Amino acid sequence: MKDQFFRYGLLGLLLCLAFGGRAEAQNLSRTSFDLSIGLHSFFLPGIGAKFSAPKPIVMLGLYRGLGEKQTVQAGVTLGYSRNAHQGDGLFAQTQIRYEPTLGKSLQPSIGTGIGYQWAYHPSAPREWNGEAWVHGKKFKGVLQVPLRLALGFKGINAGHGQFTPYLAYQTNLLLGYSPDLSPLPVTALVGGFKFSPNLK
Amino acid sequence: MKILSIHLFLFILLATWSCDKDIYSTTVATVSGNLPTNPQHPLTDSIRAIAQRHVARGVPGVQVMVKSPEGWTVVNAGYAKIEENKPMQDGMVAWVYSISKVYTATLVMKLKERGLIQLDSSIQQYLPPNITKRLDQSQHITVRMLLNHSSGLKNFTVSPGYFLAQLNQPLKQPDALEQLEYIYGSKNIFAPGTDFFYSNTNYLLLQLILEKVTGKTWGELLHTEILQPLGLKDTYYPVTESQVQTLGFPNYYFERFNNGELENCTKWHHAIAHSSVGYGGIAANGADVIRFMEALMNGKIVSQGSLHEMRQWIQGKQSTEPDYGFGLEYFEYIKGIPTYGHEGDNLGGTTEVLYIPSKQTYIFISINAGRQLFGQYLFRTSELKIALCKYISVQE
Repeated sequence: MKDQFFRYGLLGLLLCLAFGGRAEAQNLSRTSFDLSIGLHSFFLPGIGAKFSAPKPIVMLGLYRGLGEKQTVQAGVTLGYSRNAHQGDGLFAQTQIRYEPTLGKSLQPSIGTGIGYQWAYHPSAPREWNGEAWVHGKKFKGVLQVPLRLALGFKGINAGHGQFTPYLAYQTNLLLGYSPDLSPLPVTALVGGFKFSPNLK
Repeated sequence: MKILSIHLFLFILLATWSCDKDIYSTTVATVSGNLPTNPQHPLTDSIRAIAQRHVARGVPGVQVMVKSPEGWTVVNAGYAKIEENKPMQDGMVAWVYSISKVYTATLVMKLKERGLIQLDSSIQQYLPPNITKRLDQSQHITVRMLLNHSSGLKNFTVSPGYFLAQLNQPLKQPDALEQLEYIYGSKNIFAPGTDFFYSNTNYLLLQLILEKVTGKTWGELLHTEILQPLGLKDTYYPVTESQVQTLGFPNYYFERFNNGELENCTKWHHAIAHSSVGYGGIAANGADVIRFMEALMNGKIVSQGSLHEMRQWIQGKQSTEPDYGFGLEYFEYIKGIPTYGHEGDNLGGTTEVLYIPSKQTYIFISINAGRQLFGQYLFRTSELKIALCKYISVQE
């Protein structure tokens, strides 16, 4: 059931992307800020896994529109995922996103990129130094490949710019977490908004 | 700039705050042993030297128990809990993991002797359709194929869904029927009866067959058919929470990141072991495991005919030596010296019980570091077990 939900959701989003038009010419900055919060789980559809015991995640991004149409956005996202049982994650990732506008307000988005995650231990690890057990490193740095799909509603004007609230589905594939757990999928369902300030 | 400053602040906060607690560790109760050991046992010094050599290479703790014609000896090396330098103890109880399969196979053979189970009958005869209909080619899978791992059924404990569920809910383990969900609808690895593939699914199904045929739980059968008749008072199933706290269980460790560092995973490890039942759920003092094996090998639990059947080894197409009987693994640690018993593995520990017929010797090994994830500890723990089993096979 969940797999079907994801398949149809993905199909709908791809259709939106395919028929999406150019961005409206507006008096907005090319730079936008992006804040989202939601829940994450070790999950990937289609492999018999369940999106279970979700835990909080927060992401903050800074993106810039490229080209005249600004349908391509590039930028960075910083994020933090809380997980008391498997260790927290702190990450920085660059993403490139394709974000056309469908009709006047609908803004589907697809994105990918590369990132780096500080994957923490949930408990203090120990290491044998040849003579005694000593404290080990608190985290391991692992590469991360983000895959993101989102659907936003563009055009909520505020005093200083425009808000685009959205819902997003993002899987971060962790590479090198452990040889038996690589790539390790961490999937987040988040809600957030993008804010594009007015040009001065 | 302000946003970047906030992130920098958050990063520094997390880097200093994360993972300060040991969320899975437990206290190790002090227990005493009452095994009548032979202080002059001729194997003790060599076993101690092997164990200490590997502890000096980073194995956290190991317990070795041996029963030979010269009597009992126990060697402990390293720590039951490395954070507190708490030593391994003679009388400690530890999970035995897949050594439990020897007990399950023995129970099946006892019921076979009473005519309650036919080894060559299809599992469809014993299990309800809501299970068998969802297992590939179940009409061709027999009880015998479950016993010797020739059914071709996939191993649910290595399925991606099971792995991810472990990470998501380490302290909430699936029950037997939920565990089977991970392989329902999967194609078998090979046609039933044509090859060998070790799969926990086989012994999970045997547990369900035993319960279906007798109307008793697997635990009740274990007690009435094996533990009580043999007087095995240091073997536990199910293990209660208070027993976990009082029986001297060591702490358990695993290497999360393949970087040589160990993380305490004791509570998670306990949770998995609790849910393993017929394929890995027994906890025991090592001496009890040896007593059980000795009784089995001496024909005191099942008939000689059944024992002979349990030692009919099958060999996988890729194997260079026999693999498995019924609940028994075949090993030649030294070429030409057959030995058999069973290994056990879980997230934070590894065990082995081995019988060397040529020496009339039994050995039980328990190490509190896991080797289920690939990493340095896969090699460190395996090398220790191999060194001990090679030595005990020749005893020179």
